[in-house]
Amino acid sequence: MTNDAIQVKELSVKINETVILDNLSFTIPKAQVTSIIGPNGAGKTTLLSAILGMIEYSGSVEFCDGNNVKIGYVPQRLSLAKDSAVTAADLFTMTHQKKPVYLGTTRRCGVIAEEYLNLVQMAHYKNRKLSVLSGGELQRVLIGLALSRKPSILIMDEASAGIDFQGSSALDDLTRKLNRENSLTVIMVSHDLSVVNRSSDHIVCINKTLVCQGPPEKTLTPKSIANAFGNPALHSHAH
Amino acid sequence: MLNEIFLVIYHFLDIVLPFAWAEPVFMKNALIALVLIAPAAALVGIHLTALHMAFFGDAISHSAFTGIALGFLFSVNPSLSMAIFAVAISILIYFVEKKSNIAMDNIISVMMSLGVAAGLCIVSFRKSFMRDFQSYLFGDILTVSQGEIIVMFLVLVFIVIWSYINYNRLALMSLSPLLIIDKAKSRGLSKLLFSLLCAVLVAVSIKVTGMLLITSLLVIPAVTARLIAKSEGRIFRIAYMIIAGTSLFALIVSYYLDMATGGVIIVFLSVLFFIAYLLRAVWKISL
Repeated sequence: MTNDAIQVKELSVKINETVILDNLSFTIPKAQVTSIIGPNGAGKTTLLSAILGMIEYSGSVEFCDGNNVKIGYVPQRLSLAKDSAVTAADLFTMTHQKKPVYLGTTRRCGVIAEEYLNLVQMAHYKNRKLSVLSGGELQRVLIGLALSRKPSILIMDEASAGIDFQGSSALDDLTRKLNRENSLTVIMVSHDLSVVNRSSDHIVCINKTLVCQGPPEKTLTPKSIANAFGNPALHSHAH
Repeated sequence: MLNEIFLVIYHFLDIVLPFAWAEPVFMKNALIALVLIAPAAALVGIHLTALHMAFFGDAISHSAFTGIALGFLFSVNPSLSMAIFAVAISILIYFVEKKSNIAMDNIISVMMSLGVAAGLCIVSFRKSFMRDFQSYLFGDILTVSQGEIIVMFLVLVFIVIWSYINYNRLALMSLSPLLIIDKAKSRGLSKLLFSLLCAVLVAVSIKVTGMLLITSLLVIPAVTARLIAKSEGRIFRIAYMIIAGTSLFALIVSYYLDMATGGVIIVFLSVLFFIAYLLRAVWKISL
């Protein structure tokens, strides 16, 4: 039995004849927190889209527990209009219920919302509009929503972007807790090397091609950071 | 058979609305048309505004200009040619957006210009068309026929079924397409179907307010409802009550003051929008 959740082999993505990802091969270990890092334009979000099967690519992305594996996805942001009336509870209703939200929420959906908002410590904001939540609070709700699909893999795209240190730190703690208590495989994309160093078991560093992969102490070295980001000074920031 | 059904409805209206304004058959037909259009406009308007497609609605309604002109030119029922042309324009917008790097609002702007300009060319070519255009330009709910009411009823049934299946998915899509990753492949299809539905609803309800104001009938109630709704679940009910209430009130007012019903409906909707804005901004009231 393999200890990997995902095996990516020779993955390449071209969009309008521009190479976005070139011949990437790496593994994502099961029940660990893996961070995908790289500079702007390295192809991190494209890589996530390929893993999610939302874009065309060459090569292969194999889920070791079969292709029907459940994935929870936490988007970087929502396009929330200032006048949006969607509440945290509405999000759960619209995700788990077939009948339209305007016909009311079923008892089952109410229980799911309560359970998972409780898990991310947001149950008290159940009926609050998403448009008035802070960045960190919204990310917690989105993590709860992703978890309510009962995934074995949780993917988070720049979850801590635009969130203050306190919020980001709380989000890290939550991610770690979920990973430990549920043996959840977590994949997160991040720019922030200090967050990556603090909360990851495994690093995949890319810059269109694979720069390095492995545990943080072996991958977050001045040489690999200089290779990926072109600035070894970031190394001291990471530590 | 249909005549008998209408007679029963007219009789029912005579009982529940024993007022002078409700006596003429054309007023009864107008009332039935508004009752049918209100829920359809509320359901479509909510998604149109949430998906930032209000400008798309304008393009569809303005393209009706050419659709109607083509109908006159080839002696086809203008309502039918208008619906076909509106559907064709919405498909064209969808595919040009999908297959190019052009921004959506720029594509819509080009299509809207084409829709108006081509219609203008045809009308100027046959000036006798101009006077027939008036009821489509400014709307004339009092001339709605029984046949048109039946079409409105069928469109309403279709929209209600479509909404039952797709409402939650489209609402999630408007927040982030990535919230429905397990249905990612059907996202484009959902949006195309919604665009077609908008085109058909605009074509069917153009007699209510006319092509210049039809998008307002879809957009203003949805925006007003969103402004004061406590949650997404309440938006539809509020938007529906806004359209149904203002339409009925406007129908009565326009009957006694001899004004264009469509214009009165939109003025009332706009007034209600500002009242809702004040309720929310000043008194923090939400429903």
